[in-house]
Amino acid sequence: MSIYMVSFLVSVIFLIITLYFFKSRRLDFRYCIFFILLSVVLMVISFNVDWVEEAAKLLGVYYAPALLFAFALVFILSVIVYLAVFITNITKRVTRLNQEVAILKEKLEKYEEDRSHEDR
Amino acid sequence: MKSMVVIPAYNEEKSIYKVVKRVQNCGMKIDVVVVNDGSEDRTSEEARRAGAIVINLPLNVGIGGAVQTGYLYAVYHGYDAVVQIDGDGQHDPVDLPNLLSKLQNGEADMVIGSRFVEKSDYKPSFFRKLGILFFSKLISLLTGEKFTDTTSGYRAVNRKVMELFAKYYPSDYPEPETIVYLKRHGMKIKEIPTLMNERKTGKSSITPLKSVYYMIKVTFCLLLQDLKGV
Repeated sequence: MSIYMVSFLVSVIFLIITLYFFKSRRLDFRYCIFFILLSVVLMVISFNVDWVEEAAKLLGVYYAPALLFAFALVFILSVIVYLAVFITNITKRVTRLNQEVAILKEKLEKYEEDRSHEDR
Repeated sequence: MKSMVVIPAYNEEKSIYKVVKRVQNCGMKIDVVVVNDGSEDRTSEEARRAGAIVINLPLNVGIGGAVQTGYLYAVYHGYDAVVQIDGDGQHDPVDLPNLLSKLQNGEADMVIGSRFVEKSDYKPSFFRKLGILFFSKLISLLTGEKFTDTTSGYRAVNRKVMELFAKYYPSDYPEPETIVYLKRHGMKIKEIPTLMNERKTGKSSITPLKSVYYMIKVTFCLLLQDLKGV
């Protein structure tokens, strides 16, 4: 089996895993779309290696796979930064939710205490 | 002026009762609110036994989140002033009326109890002293105003400031950053001399590695906040 076929199969497996997570609702569509697009791009590239070589020539890159690595690195870094921003936002929301719950709990306890005093 | 004291506490069962009692006996009528930041010990029970209002955070959110809960509570319950005190007994409630009086007569929007406005017996370690000096110089440079104790957690704020803090409060090592944040919002800040007791129980959470992180994080936040003019 050629390396092109192997990379195509890896891309298909990646796509199937992504769709599986989406179907089982463990991955939201807005993140899923990143990986679906990535899988499709990888599948296309697997059988059109000359496109990468052309692009490398155009950009003055002597070793074509290096261009792929560069794109992969930029993609991965972008995803990581996006996720870090997302986690920061979630952390802030969880903190605020925690604070509101705690304040409400205090209010509820006070209310129940007052009511039990009235009942006596 | 309807005032309250907020005491953030995490695993302070040994000291919290005394701290609450000392505030209650400081000679003025003031509500004491203990924000229990997900402690694993009996902090909540001890604070309640002392007669404090206790807010139990379901999860540990860190010092910034705990203090902010107090400000949020104050906003919701219509307080005019909030004084922040550490739960380890290092801050002396004797200074409370003095801090609040500066708010009441409109001299400041936030009053910081400083250990260095006047000479005191408080002797920090060499590295701590270096850090305190560094932040004091940096913040004085950024705000154009002299501050001697930017890391002090002994503070009193009025309604305007508590509303700002309810919206945004740094998650960790918040004290220096909040000074620049408030100055950017045109608030008046004043320092007054206060006494600092030695830690009665437990130990400081600041390790050498955390100190390095603290210095880098706070410096970055201060410089970037200054650039953004937030």
